[in-house]
Amino acid sequence: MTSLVARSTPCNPRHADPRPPRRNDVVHLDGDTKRALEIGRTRLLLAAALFAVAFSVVGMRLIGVTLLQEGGEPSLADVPQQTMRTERADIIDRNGVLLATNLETASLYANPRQVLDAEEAARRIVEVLPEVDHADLVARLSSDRSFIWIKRNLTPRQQYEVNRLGIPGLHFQKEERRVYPQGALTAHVVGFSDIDNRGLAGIELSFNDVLRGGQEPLQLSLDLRIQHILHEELSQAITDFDGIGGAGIVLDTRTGEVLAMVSLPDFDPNAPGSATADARFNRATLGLYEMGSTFKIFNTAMALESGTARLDSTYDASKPIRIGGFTIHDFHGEDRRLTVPEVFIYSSNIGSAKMAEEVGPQAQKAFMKRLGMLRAAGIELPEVGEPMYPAPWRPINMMTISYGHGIAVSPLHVVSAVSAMVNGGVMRPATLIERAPHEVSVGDRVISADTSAIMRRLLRLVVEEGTGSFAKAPGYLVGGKTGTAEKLSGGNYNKNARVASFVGAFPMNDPRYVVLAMIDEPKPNATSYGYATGGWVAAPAVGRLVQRMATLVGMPPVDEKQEADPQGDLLIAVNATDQTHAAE
Amino acid sequence: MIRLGAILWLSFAVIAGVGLFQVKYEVQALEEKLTSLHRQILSDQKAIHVLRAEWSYLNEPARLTELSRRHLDMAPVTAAHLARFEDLPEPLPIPPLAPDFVPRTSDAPGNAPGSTPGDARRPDETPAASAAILASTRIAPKTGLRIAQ
Repeated sequence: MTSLVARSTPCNPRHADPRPPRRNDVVHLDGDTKRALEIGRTRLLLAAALFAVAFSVVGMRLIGVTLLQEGGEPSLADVPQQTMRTERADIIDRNGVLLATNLETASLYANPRQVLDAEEAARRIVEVLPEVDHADLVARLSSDRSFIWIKRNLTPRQQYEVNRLGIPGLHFQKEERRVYPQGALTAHVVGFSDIDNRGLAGIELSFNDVLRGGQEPLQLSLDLRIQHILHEELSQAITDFDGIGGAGIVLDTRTGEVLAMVSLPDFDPNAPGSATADARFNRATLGLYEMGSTFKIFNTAMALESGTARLDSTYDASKPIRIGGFTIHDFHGEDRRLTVPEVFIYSSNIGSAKMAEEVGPQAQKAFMKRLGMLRAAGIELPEVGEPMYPAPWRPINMMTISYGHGIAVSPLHVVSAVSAMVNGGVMRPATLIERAPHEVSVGDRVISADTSAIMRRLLRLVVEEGTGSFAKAPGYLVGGKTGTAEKLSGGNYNKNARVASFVGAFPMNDPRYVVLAMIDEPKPNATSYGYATGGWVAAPAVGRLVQRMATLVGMPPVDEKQEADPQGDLLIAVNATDQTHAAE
Repeated sequence: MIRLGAILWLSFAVIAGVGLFQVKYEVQALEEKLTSLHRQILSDQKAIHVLRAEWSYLNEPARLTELSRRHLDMAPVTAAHLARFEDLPEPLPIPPLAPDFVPRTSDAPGNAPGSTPGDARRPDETPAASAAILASTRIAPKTGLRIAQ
C-alpha cells in the first residue's frame, strides 16, 4: 500500500481521526525507490491474483465435492457388512417349518509336533470324546506328521469340552453340515446331500443349483402336519396288514400342490449311507404299479366323455370275457346286466372292458396320454418312473387297461389324474413348490365339467354304498375308488402279492384334496375276515387321515344327514341305480 | 495488533486441531463399536440359525405326538367337536335391565368375588327364572355340538 497512513486503531473508535487523509499527510516517493516499489507491487498483485484463482478453484472443487456431488453424509460408516451365509439355502415347508438347513460344526484336528505329551493329551481327549480310540490316538499323536484329524463335525458341547482341556496343538476347522431336523418324515421328498454339500436325491438334487446359489429358503408345498398324519396312518395300515411298504399322497386339486408325500419304508436323511436301497426307493413317484380298479375312474370318465355310454347304459356282466387265451372275471360277481354306476361301484372288470371296447383302443390310448399316463410325471423330483404300457396297444391291452392291468404307473400319476376327474376336468401338473395364487397353472381341460360332476357322484357312491365304505369320515363327504391288483412275479400274477390302494377326494360336493394310500403286499388277517383288498387295507387309512387333516386345514364339517345340497347333488346317481333295480 | 490476530488464529488452529482429534477418536470408538456390533449381529444370527434348527427338531410331529400322549389328556379334534356359528341355536333375547338395577362392585363390603352369584341377581328375578336362563345357555350338549374355540 502506498498510503502509509497511520490510522487510529479500530478498537478505539472514539479516538479515531474522522477526517479522510489529506494530500499533505501522504508521503510521496520518487525515482528508483518508487519504481522498485511499483515493480514489487505489480508482482505482489500477480501472485495474489494467481493464489486467488488457485484458492477459488480449490474452494469451488470443495463445494462441488462436499455439497453438490454426494448429497448427505453416508448413513453408515464404511465397515464391511457381514451377514450370515451358508453354503446351501434352507428348505422349509408351506408353513415355514425348517426341513433342511446347514449348521456350522467344528472338526477337531491336531498338529502332533505341537503336542507336548501325546499319552496325556490322548487320555484327556478320550475322556471328552469317548468314541475316539485311545491307543490309535496315542499312536497318531506321537507321529511326526503335522496334521491329523481327531474327529469331524463335533457338537457345540463337545467343542466346548475340548476347548476347556486347553491342550496345545489341538485346532478346530470350521465346516458346514447339512441337517434334516424332521428326520425320516420328509426323507423322500427333500432327499439328502453329501458331505461336500452337493445334493444327491430329491429336492436337494433337483434344486441343487438354486440352493447353492442363493440364501433365500426354498419353500415347498408340503404341509408337515399333514405329512405326519399321512405317515402315521400309512405306517399303521402297513403294520396292521404286515405289508412290505406303501405310498401315500395328498394333493390340492385346485393348485396341483402336493401337501404330503410319503413312501414307506423310509430312512434318516441325516445318515443316508446306512439306508437300504429299498428304503431310499420312492414308491410314490419312482415305483410303477399296476393300479387295478382305480383305473375304472378314468375308464368310466372316458366312456361318459366320449358319449359311448350314459349313466343309464347297461352292460352284460354275467359271463366272463374270453379273449386271446385270457379270461376276464369279476371279483364281486353280480352275474347280470349292470348300469354304469353299478359297474363302477361293484368294480366290474367285465363291464369296464365292455365300456372300453365301445370307445376303442386308439381313443383310450389318446385319453390316457392326455391324463399324462404315458410319460414320467412332471414333478420337481429326479426320482420319477417312466410308465410301462403296451406297444402296440391291442384290443386285449385295451380291455385290461380299462380295469388297471397291463399298464404300470406311479401313484403320483393316479393322484394327478383323479384330481382332474373331480376338480371340474382340468389337469394340472403336480408340484412340490409352493404356488402363490397367481402362479397356479391354468392346466389343460381333459374332461368336461359335466362329466367331472358325474364322476364326483360316482366316487361318492363307492364310499356310501360300495367297496370304499371304510373311507367314510363323518362330516367330510369322502368319495373314492378302491383298487386291488395282483403283482407280477415271473410273468404270472401272484395271488398272494397284491397292491391295495384307495384314491379318494373330499369334500365330494366341492373337492379340495385328493388322497391316495397304497399298501404294497398286505397280508389278509382276522380283522379283515381274510381280505387284503383296497377297501379293507387302504380305505380305512384314508378315512382316518381325512378326519384328522380336515380339522387341521379348517374345513367346516357338513352334517351328512341334514345337508340337503351336497347330498341332493350326489343322490342322482343313486336314483339311476335304483331305477335299474326297479326295472329288473 | 498483529499479535492479537496471530493469537486469535493460533487459538483457532489449536481449537480446530483439538476438535479434529476429538472427533477422530470419537469416530474411531464408534467404528470399533460398530464392528463389534456387526460381529455381535453375526454371532446372534448364527445362534438364531442353530436355535431354529433345534426348534424344528424339537417340534418334530412324531415327538410332539408322543409327548402329548404321555403328558396331556387330549384327543384329536374330530368333526363332532366343530360347529359353525349358523348351527348355533338362536340366543335368547337378553331381558332389559330393571331401572333400579345397580351392579355391585366386587370390592363392596360383604360381596367378595367368591360370594354367591345370587347377590347380583336382579331384584325381581326368581330362582326358577335364573335356572331357566342357565338351562338355555346349555343348549350345546343337548344337540350334541360343542364349540371348538
